[in-house]
Amino acid sequence: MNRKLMVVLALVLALTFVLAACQPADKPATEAPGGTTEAGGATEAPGGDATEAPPATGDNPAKARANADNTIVVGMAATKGVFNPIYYSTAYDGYVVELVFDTLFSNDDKGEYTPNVAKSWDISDDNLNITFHLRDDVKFSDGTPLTAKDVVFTYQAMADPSYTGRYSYIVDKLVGTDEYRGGAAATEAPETTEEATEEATEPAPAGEAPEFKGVTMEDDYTVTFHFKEANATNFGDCGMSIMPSHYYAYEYGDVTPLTQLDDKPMGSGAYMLTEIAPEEYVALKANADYFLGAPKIENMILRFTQKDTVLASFQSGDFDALDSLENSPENREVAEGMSSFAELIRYDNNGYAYIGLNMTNPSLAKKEVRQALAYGFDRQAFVEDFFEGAAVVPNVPFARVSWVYTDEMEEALNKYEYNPEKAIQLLEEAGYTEVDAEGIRSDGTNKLEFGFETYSDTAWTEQLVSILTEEWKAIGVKINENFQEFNGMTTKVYTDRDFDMYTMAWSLVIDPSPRGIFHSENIGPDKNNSVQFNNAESDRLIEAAEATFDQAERQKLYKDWGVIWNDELPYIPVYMRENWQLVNNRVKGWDTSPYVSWRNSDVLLNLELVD
Amino acid sequence: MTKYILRRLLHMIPVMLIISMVIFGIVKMTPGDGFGAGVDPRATKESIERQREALGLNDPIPIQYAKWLSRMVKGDFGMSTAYRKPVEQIVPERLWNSFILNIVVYLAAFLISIPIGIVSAVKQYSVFDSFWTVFSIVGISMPSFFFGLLLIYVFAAKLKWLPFSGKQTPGLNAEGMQAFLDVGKHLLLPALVLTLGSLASTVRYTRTSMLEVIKQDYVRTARSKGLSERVVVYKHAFRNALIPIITLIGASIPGLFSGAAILERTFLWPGIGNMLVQAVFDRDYNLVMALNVFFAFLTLLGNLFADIGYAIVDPRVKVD
Repeated sequence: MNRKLMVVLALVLALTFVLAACQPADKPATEAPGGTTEAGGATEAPGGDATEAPPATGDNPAKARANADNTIVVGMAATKGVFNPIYYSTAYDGYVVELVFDTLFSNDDKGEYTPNVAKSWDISDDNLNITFHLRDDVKFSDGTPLTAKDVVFTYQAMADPSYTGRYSYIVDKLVGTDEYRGGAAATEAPETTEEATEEATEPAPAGEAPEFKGVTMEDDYTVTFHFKEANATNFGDCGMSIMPSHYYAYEYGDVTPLTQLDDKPMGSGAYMLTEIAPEEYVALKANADYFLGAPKIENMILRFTQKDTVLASFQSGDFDALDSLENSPENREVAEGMSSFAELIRYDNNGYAYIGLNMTNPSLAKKEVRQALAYGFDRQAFVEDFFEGAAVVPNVPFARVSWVYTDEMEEALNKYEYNPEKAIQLLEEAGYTEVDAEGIRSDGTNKLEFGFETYSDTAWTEQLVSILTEEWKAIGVKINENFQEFNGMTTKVYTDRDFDMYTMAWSLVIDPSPRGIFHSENIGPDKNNSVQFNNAESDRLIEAAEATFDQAERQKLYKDWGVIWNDELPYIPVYMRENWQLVNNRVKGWDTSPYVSWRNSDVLLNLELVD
Repeated sequence: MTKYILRRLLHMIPVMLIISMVIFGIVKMTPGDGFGAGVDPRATKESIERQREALGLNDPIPIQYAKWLSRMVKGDFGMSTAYRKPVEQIVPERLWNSFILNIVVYLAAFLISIPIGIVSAVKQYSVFDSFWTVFSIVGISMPSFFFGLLLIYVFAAKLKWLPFSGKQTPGLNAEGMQAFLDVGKHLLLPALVLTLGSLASTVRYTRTSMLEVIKQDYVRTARSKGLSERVVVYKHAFRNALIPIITLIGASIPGLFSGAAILERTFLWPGIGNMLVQAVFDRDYNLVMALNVFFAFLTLLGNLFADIGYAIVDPRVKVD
């Protein structure tokens, strides 16, 4: 018996040893190929002329892949397979749409619009109508020319009474959409009752189509958008991907046929979809007749990644580029270990993370309290510690990369540098002078104790909550965190608006207008002004900045708005991080920047594989 | 027997109804419907409302259930909101992928573990038995994603023998034998992880039930009347020891289709488990309902098969 026990124990020990020895499995990529980290580290300057001589540390792993010479493999998150310009809803389905379809205009690295299918455009004197002049040499991949008719068709489909996608808010801004839908005007009154909405969305019986007035065709290559209101953000809404009307044809009142082509998208874009392996990858082939010239890389595979193994997989040569690498010091270390054959590309993300403060809460309604919370939280230390230089602390809800973010604005903003004494002073001024046994301040009626809604599965929220708990305790504020699943939290915050504070992040579009998030018209269930920021001067400035089409004028107005926002502080902005991409040196021309993705034709058409 | 099976099948109808009601209630009561604001700063309340209305999400839950049920009975499982395709169009391919993986795993697990379990029981406390006892404990305790990553590290990252993930090599466009081998290569690691996981429990089951039987009087009788050990073990004892194993096999049937969400995610195996988890996060109601109801049905079916199996191996079990 004793002997047997010994055997068992020995086995247990042996197995434990095996397991312990294999511990680094969750960081599978810490070593460079062949274990030559030191040699490979600093010898090759990233982006240097590695074209001539092969890297000193050995072969580039990606070159060993089958079909490597004419195929680029880009790693990204999984698509849902809704490759339909007016129906897709995840960013990654959007990537495929961008590759397969074209838009009227593109943009450059400053976020300025540049010609694409449209060679030029004019805006009417009343700023209500935008006319685009189209190139006449653009063809869909079946050879049919792209004309103004196709542009009209795309917007008409979104206005159809049977359209149920998420982009109907775009056609809501166009003249005559409500009549075209065949319902009562649902969009005008801000306080729409539920019944009215129901009536309005009742699909009209199929049959004679009313005239669609929102987008009209002047001639084959001229198209005009007619907006209800003059607004500087209208222009961006003209940029939907153009669908061929002959291919996606449907009858008025029933867009079903159009939705059945999600797997077989056809556009005029630089690439054509050839294969879908659900949950695995999407394969595309270059459009040799592309109007801006055929892409240099013949085949493109968008392969979906798994975050635990993606770096090791990249290292083995499975990918030529990673669309997005999680911004973390650990990942940077691993990526830099691959510097002999790959480059980590870093630039500002167009978005920010924040803590939203519910301004209907009696304590949070006071500006002093909101400012005190900002002074009492060492954002600089948090961001520095978490991102190690790969993020900055924002003080206004505009991206640093946007044209709207000027030096004058930067100077005019309060930076809210960590100052707990100032925080306490502000709280005392606001009347929060009583301190209870737990150390929580109160003004006699309201205690500074708040619910804090946050979501799990991300490291930053967990770290944020533990730091806030500690730092705010020092100024007499208590938070009760509530970790939950993201979708449930969205409902709590935006639909029920049942929260004191919450944390989330916004991803922004090129036009910087803060209307959707901070204008008082967007206070209400399912609207985006969840914190209920209601400030007449702020509203006025937002409207004024949209009413003018002059960018310098807008810049000035947004600066004034930014200063008010920064003083009122409906959000405590937490960080603005960098976007990271990892690109193998055999790919040349991957010149992405905040507004120019690798799907932008300026990059896409110049991409090249070198030996 | 036929009558018994028919009766059991009829019993399944009310049970399925109750199960579907419970699942529907739970699914609908989870906060969020995936259309809240905060997803797109430009979206308006009207556009969100239009999408909700089109999906019937504004009806009271019992009415939504009634509508769902009446559609389901006609074989229409509705549209998946995330994939924007009818559920019956997107499910079979993933189901098949999970099935390929699981059938390999179950065959391997049962074929290997039953003999091991028998030998372990017959030679109780031997080195062989101790080894498998320890092995089982380690196998059961080790999380599959961890073990999966471990194997990926060794076989994909270090040795470069096998691919990291997926079901096929992208862009290979293989056919026939080449495609078969390609899938096989991708299948090896996930199958190994799952097999080791289920091997452990099946070995334990077989061993325990075999031990119980071996100590019974009739086995001693068989031995004392001079039958060879082989006949005693495999003919007399094993048949009776099979009963709990049949329960296990029956209970495994839904597992054949349901897929292993975590493992599928680790290996990016395009199966149903990962899809179901994602559907729950997306609040893709029709997809969640269809899959759950399907799994519930398989579970009931598995129980039925197990009951029939009892009747076949054990004459004491009467089914009429």
